[in-house]
Amino acid sequence: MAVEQLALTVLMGILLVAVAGLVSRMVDWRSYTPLGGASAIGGSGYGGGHAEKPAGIVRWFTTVDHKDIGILYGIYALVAFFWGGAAVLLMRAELAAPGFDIMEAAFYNSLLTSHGITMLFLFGTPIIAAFSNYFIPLLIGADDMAFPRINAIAFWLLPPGAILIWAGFFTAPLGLGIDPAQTSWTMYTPLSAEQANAGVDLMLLGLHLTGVSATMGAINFIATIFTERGDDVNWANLDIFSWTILTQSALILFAFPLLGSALIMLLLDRNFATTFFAVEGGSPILWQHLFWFFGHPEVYILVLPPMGLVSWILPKFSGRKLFGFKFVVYSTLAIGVLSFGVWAHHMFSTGMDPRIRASFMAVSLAIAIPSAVKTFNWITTMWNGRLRLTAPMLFCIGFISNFVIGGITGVFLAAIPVDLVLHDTYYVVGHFHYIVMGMIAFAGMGALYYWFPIVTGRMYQRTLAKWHFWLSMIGTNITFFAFLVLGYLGMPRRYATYQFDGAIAPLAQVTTLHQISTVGAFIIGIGQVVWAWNMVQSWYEGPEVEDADPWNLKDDGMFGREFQWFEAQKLAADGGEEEVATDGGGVRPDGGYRRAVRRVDDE
Amino acid sequence: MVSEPDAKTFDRETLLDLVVNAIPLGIILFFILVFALVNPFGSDPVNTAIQFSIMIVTGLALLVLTYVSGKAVSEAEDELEEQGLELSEEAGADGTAETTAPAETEDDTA
Amino acid sequence: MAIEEADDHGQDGHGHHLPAVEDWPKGFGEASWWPFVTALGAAGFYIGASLYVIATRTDLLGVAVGPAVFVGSVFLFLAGLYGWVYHAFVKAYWDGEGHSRGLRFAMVLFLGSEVATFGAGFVYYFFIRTSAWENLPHLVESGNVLSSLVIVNTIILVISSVTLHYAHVALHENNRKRFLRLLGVTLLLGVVFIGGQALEYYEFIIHEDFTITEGAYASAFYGLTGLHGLHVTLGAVLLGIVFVRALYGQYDAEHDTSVSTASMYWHFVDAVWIFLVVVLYAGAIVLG
Ligand code: HEM
Ligand SMILES: [Cu+2]
Repeated sequence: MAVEQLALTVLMGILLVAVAGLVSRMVDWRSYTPLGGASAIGGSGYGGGHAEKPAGIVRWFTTVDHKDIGILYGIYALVAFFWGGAAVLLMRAELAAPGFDIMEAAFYNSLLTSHGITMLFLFGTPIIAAFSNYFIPLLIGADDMAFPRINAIAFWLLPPGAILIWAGFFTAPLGLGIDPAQTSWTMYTPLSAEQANAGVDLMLLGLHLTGVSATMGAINFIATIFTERGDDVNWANLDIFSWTILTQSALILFAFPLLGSALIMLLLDRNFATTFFAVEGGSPILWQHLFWFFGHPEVYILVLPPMGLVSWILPKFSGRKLFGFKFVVYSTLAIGVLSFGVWAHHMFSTGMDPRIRASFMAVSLAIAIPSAVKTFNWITTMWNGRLRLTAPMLFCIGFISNFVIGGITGVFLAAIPVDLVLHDTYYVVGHFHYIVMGMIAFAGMGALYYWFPIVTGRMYQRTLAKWHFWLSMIGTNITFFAFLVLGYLGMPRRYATYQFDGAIAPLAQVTTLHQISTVGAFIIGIGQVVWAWNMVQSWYEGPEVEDADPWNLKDDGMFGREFQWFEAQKLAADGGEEEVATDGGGVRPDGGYRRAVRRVDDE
Repeated sequence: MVSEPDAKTFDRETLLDLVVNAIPLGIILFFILVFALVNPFGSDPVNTAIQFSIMIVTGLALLVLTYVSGKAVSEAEDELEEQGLELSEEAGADGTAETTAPAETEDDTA
Repeated sequence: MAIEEADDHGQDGHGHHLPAVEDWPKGFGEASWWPFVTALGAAGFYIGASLYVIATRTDLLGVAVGPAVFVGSVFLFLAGLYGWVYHAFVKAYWDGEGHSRGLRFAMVLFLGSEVATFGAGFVYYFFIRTSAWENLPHLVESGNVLSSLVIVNTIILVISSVTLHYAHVALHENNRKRFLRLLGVTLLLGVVFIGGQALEYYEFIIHEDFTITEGAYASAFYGLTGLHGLHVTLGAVLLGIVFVRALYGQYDAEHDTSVSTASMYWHFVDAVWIFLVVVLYAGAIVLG
């Protein structure tokens, strides 16, 4: 207990410091400008010398600008990333030896639950929203999102959601009897229905709130992509990232509200003695069906936009257009549809009807094709290309390599006989971590580096970025490959200890593999510290970007719309007499900045 | 929404692009046939109906979406060609801003 | 949510614009306090619910605290919504411009998400219908769930959809008086429906002793009718707003975006009700 208290206190201390730092930085951001040298123009950072936003921290509470909201999403997601990361490092430390050494099972379970929920709902979805908010309007030539205020609301629902989800950790040290939930991220009934702890209710409520936020965002994105495109953008030249966000939003539209209803039903079961998931009512299996009907689309909600990011960034450093662009578009849509027909592959071992189970296997095997198609497209894009191994590119390549392992292990699991052996072992954990860490986090990092110059007007430190990549790549593969082997040895998932007898699994090998993956996890952790330092330091002191084309994309004819926008902003900041629109890809009715660009070109 | 497409909409090239979704459809079709022919678990009105509807419904949904999106993209391509605009997702990338003359489309029906 | 969407009215898809030029206390162009206030109010609902749960599971708080926070949040939420919507209205009204395509589209999307919201409840019902259909409450055994009250209520709701439709038609014909009258009738019918539902709950709970804890069917019954009731209530609020705006003469044949979004919502809620009556009321006793 003492150790838990200590760990918690340290954790909360770190959080408080982080929050304090964040707040003080926000105040500093009075001078934040999206462009390096833009302070010349009236301090607002936006054209024309008249302020469109209040100064200081108020700006961040009141903004309805999609770019600012994107930054807020990004910061939120990264705070969550560190919370989830801290939780898992504690867990890995506990697993370095078979016994209970540094924490009790209850605390391990709480960390496990918080890690999963945080990474999927508070890091994954928001980090994607950060990129889509900032860049979708720029990429499609829109002025802003279709509903800027709904956009702001959707963001501001998230911090209270996170506080509710994490609440148990804050109240536990006070001894009030409100402890963190120990339900795992899947919240299976009857376990989740029977834990009397109010922390579970708080988590369910917080999750519901974040779900509302995600749904509002999804409606906004679909409406934006359908109705706000610039005049020169239509379905034929819509960029790949927007396609994946469109598909993702459609998935959110049906998946999250369903989860919302299921959460409410669970809350009613817990508090008002209803029978939604009780044996004499809908049965615990109903929860699994509802949860996975949401849950499988959710994994594609998380992975499709990263696939879009890689499809967008990879060609830029291969010197070639994305190979088979249309294939990537149609296979994205195919994944979107099929992902609603595979949910029961998470339930193969529940004793469901074998005929129905077989069907889910069929559709699950089918969904692997569109995923594989993309992999081939990325590889052929690089084939014979002129590769430039910048940090964003490295992360893209790492992404592909990790997806090969993550995807193939998924296909194995989709086969019923294999799954019956491997279900609920570390093999499954290895499978999805190759994807969530190896792909989603990697693509997020790659995109952060790629767009760092636009967002901050500065350049990051390239050497540190490469350190970050290699530490992440090596750490990820050590950690999660060990998971796959552990799974083959029969190590069950979700346990704080593994002092089992040799008949279940060979203890010596299992211990070694656990230690290997703990080492790997800490390597990842160190990599992220390097990254955090790089981001903060470069934002303050990095070299300012002089040229709007930091990646030399013009040479290859790959100067995307977002960088075209950036260039227009820079030109305006450098004293173009023409007032530039605050926003948008230059769809001013009179042809706005494009004319300004051309004039400079002509000189 | 499913108005009669003219022959040009689904030309060879578009069909070739859509092949990518024919493969998962083929796999689903394959399993439908296999499960219809090989039936080790016996039949049961409810469960067999669910068994086949999972595959048929997802397959049909994929078919419809592929058709609709293929049609939309292909028509959009023709539109771009008519206006002499670029097909690439990085339109205007090489500084050919001349080609991006805004076309007046009116979609606001207040 | 639907009201919130009404917000972003004064925008057109073309040309450059700033979203929040007119705002309180000061228009900046890209800054507004209202989203933050509204989100805070919305989060307050969840915090109120949390406090209530904490009060029932520990003895840290009185049970009244949670509901009090909840009610307070309602005011905060409405204030945020009002400020926000008001600024959008004024702008939209004076500019005479609408963002109608986006708004209609957003409403269709929202209704799509509603299908999923209701879907979970209906799936539960189908689960118990096929596997836990026993120990039925007296109301179902006797067939009394499908009372004449429900039938009358259903007819009322269907009629309200018809009147709303013709109100819209009248607006298109620029027949303002007829539009107002039919819209008023619709609103009235909606309120009567809600009253009828309340009466039904009262009858069932007080006289029939049929509460939400009475087993599998009761969970489905109160879950689904409750969810639907919330939707009708929101629909009535929306129609109320539309009605007030109509009284101010803010609509005509060309400016009818929120009339049509509110109608879509109302028709949807109506359709759900019919489905609900067929499977949950009639289906329970017919195929028993
Ligand atoms: C190639 C396509 C894929 C296939 C065929 C596939 C198949 C599967 C199967 C059958 C399982 C269940 C294993 C079990 O519990 O016994 C599973 C678990 C999982 N998959 Fe995948 N998968 C694929 C891609 C993905 C992707 C792209 C993601 C994430 C973005 C993902 C995330 C997950 C997660 C999170 C779980 C574990 C859920 C849990 O039980 O906690 N999978 N996958
Ligand atoms: Cu899955």
